[in-house]
Amino acid sequence: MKRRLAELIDLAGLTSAELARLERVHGFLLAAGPPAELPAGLLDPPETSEPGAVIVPLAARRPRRAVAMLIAATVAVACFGSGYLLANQTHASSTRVAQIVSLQGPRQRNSFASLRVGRADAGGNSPIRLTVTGLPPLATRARYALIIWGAGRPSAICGTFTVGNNGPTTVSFSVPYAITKTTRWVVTEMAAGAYPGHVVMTSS
Amino acid sequence: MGVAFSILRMASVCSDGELIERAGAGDRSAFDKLYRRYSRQVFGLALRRLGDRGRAEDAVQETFVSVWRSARTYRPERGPGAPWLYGIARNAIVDRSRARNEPAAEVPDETSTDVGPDERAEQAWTQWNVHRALERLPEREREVIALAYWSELSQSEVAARLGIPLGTVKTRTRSALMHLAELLEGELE
Repeated sequence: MKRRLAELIDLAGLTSAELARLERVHGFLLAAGPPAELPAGLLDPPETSEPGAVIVPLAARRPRRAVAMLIAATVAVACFGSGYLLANQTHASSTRVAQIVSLQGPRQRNSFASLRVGRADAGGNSPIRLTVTGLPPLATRARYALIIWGAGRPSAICGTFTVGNNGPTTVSFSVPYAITKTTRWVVTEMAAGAYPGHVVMTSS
Repeated sequence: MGVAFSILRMASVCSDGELIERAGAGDRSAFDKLYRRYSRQVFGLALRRLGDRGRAEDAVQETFVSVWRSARTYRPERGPGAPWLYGIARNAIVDRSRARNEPAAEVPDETSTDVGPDERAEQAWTQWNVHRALERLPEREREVIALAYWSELSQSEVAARLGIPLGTVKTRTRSALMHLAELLEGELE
């Protein structure tokens, strides 16, 4: 609906120069339209690491690797199985978003991911949706994995995915984990059967 | 006196450039202020350009991660902070539209449905500035502008809704427009 300025204010007492200025502003407002309402998931700024932070690869933690791998692989099989079964039932895009987390690669990789985490359902399953940009396609049997990181090691795998030549890639999972604002996420690159692989992206 | 007070209040707020410089030095609170100041505008710009809320939300995230990463490269002598941030937002949005290999959705303006890329870019920049200026208005002025322009209520209905006389609504609207004229001085030249 286009309104004339005279319908909105009393023009009496304005000089012609003032009137011209207000008419311009009036035109700007009509053209600009209303400001967008910020979605709930964007109310808080994204998590960030130190500017230019360097990601420490998993290979640096070799002394604990065998034990960690055994525990993580067990957790992974159990969790990924349930996550996979639920993946097609619920999606973050159709659920109220509880938080959005950004993940970054090392600066030179120019990779980026946005992770939307929906509110957990009555059964405790949280829908998540990951959109990734800047990761290269992998060899045939290799996969990227989204993993929850805790106490310096992978604690649960949320799912695996591949990317094409033209990003971004969006994947959805549903995971039965307690997710909080402090949950740390990583994306790893796994050669065939080599869980958890090396970290290519991380949240702060 | 009210106008003078408002301008003083605006001047006492940290400039965009100062916030960007502080963020570049690792000051998270400055980054948070920048986010609260600009996230709605970036989202509006992205939504208009991409035509999809999910992708627009991702573009906002990507924009501010880029701001955090590159704030240390900002040089105030090259220009104020708002155009610098706008440039980052625009790049993030364009990258996102190109990455999908799809033409970007552009919601046409009612006032100009047949414009070229340069004019579209100029309109987007003006819209960005208008919304930024709105954010800087006192709350009660922003409220009457929103109701007068985008609620489809008449000024009498606005008066009834706010529980104030019609004359006050009109005076407040006029005052808000004058403030906006000051804040948009560059656009009005």
